[in-house]
Amino acid sequence: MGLFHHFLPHLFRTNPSLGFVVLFLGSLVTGLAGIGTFNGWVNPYGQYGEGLLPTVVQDSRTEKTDLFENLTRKPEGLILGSSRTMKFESSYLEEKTSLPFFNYGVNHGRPEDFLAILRLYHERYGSLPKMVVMGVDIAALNDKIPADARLSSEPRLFRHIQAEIPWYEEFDRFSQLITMHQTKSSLRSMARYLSGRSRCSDSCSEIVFDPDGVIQYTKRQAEISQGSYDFEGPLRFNQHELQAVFSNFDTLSKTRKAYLQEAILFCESQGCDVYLFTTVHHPRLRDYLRERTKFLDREREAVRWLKQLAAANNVRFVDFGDVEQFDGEAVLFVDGIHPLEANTRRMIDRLLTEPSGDRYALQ
Amino acid sequence: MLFNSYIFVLVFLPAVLALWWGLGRWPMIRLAMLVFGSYLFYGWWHWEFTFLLLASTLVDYYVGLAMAYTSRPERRKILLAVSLVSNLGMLGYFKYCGFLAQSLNGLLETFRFGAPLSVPDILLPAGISFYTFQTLTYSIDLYRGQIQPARSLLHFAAYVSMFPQLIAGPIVRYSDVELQMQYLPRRPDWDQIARGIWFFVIGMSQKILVADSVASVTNPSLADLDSLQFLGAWSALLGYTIQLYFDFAGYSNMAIGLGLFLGFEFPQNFDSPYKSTNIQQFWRRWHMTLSSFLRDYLYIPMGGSRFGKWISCRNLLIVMILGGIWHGAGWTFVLWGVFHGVLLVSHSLLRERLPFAIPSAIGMLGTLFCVMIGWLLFRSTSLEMAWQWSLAITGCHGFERNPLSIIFSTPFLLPCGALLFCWLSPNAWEYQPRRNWVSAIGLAILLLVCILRFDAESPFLYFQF
Repeated sequence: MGLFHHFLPHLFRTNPSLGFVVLFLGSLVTGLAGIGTFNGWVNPYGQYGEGLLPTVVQDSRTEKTDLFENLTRKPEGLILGSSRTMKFESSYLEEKTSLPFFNYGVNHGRPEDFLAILRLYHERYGSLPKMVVMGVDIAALNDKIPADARLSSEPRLFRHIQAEIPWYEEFDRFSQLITMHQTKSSLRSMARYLSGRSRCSDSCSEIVFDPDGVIQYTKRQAEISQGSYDFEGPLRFNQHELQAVFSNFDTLSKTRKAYLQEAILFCESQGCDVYLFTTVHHPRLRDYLRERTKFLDREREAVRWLKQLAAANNVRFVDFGDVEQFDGEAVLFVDGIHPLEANTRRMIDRLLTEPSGDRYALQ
Repeated sequence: MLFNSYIFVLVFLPAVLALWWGLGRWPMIRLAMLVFGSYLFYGWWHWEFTFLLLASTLVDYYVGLAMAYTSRPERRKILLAVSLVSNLGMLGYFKYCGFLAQSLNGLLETFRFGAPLSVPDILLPAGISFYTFQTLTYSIDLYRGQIQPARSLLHFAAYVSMFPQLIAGPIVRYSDVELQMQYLPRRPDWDQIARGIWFFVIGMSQKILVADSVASVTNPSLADLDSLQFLGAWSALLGYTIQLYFDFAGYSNMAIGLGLFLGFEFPQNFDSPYKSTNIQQFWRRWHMTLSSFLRDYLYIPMGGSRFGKWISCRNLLIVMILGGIWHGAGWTFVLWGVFHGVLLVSHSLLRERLPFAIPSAIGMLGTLFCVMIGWLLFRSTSLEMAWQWSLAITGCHGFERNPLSIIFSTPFLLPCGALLFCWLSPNAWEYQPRRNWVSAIGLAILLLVCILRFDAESPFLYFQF
């Protein structure tokens, strides 16, 4: 109370400018600390460890790690990637290779996730699987996007990569505590909690993971089969989201390239076969991005580098950026980036017939 | 590093200010820290480009030193030429090489010689147009005997690299800060800091709350230009007119505020340009430090208005074309320069012949209309886009069936509101808040809201120049 009754009034009387600066900074710091504490406490996306309240969204890293730990049969094959690889069916791969597979694709999965998952697998089984199918999103190689905050809030994965994450990415994670997006989500989440409703929005029940890690879009798949699915909305969302990603994408991230290289070398050292590919974009999304962003330049750059990486490490690599690469169909998509089973099966067929990586060295 | 980023506001700025004022008794250490901090700020984006900044600094510092030690006119000329060639050469290579190759290829293709030149894909270092101009003013002012050489390399390096104005101006001449650099205040002047807070918060709000909000509703319509009709096209043009002003004036105000935090007074860069009643006045109020640069280092040396009307008009036209090219390597910028050159020439020829005075409201609207047409060229990424947009604003793409739906939509109302605000309110220089509780807490809340919106990171438009 003395601060408001004595110190500040006295300061404003004797030196109004100093009083103004002190009050301005005090208010700013108090406001930032208050908002940061509130968002950390509500923790709507589960980014900051165990919060006091349950999270409002699903966290695929946590769910997949739970599924992985509950597996009764050792998977001899792993599918790594982002949500775009979640429809790569473990059962179909098993049918083709006779190896039991687990789909460990996680939302915004990037090379640092791949490395963490491989290390977790190695810790559990003492070796790596016989085969790894790795899907790389071109957007994930953007050097301006930090490691996904959900990786750092899943301790079972994060401890395998923590030492290699640069400090400024950790800073980015904590600076997200004072964003408008986080604050709005916290307020929504609190409102739902206080009104006695589930903190998880409707989207939580729309997505389910099978025990082998493959995603089921329950609501969307039902709408697709009924013919009532609105494809345009999700496509527009992808267009705007990726336009922002590719507009400021000038060079491939050196850190991500290093993570991917390390993951592949790790596999090579353990005698594990790697099948590498770039994930697909819906033709309309490709056109949209090509006209408005540096998408094509970055795609070419990334594919060139991945080919070199594949050649150097005797890894099979296929560029699936365009549906024509695997005779895919534009109608077999949930949105601009997530293919349905019929498309992913064609990708698997194409991938498994690809000769080993030394082919590129000859070109 | 961007001013509107967490790392800048939460880490970099507090650290630099704490060290700057904490080391009050040791001016050389303070300057060294400022140079180091500014290089860190600049190198955050691409550290390799700090070598360019260093090269420009070294060349001009030693050229300046050599100029101070010689009185022989021909040697001074050679030294000036070294500075001009190195600075303009660097600017030319990074900014215009690709454009020149592309244009030459186009020309040769027209005459069926194919396109023999490979077009280099060169990344433009941020702020290169600004700091090369700053170092040029130093060499030219020294050559003219208007300033003394910098006291030390550290003083000069601090002047060139000072982070508040490094990337997008205002273009600060050495004479503006010469004395301030020599007599660095040991303790903060709280009144100056309070003024700095005002400029910084207002600049940040202009950028985040106005420019970015307008951009978010304008850009989607420009991304689909073919479908734009008459009102939609005008709405997009008005949106860009507001976005550009608030974006750039916002950056300038932030730079001025940051300068005040460090105890430096930078020149004003914007003076409510959309209140101008004629085009000449507009150029005295828009990007004022560039206008005065063009006037003092191009227009006047070319003869200015000393050799009659026609030479003066020719000079105006050349200066504006060069000003257009400075903004960007593209034919749309050349056309924009020509357009403004023609406007200035017309104004200069007509103003004395008009038998009546134009009412200020009409002058203001007419000037804004001309400026907006110029922004159409400025914003267009190609001549094709400029053409399509021109067709749309002239109604050649048709008219909306329901014009009210456009007029009462956010993309139209938001820039209109911002324009009214520009017309009716004083600018950040004309109004200073009283130092009381209300203004302190009000500005803190305003900055807090801006900080919360840093997650939608958006660079400043003038970074590309």
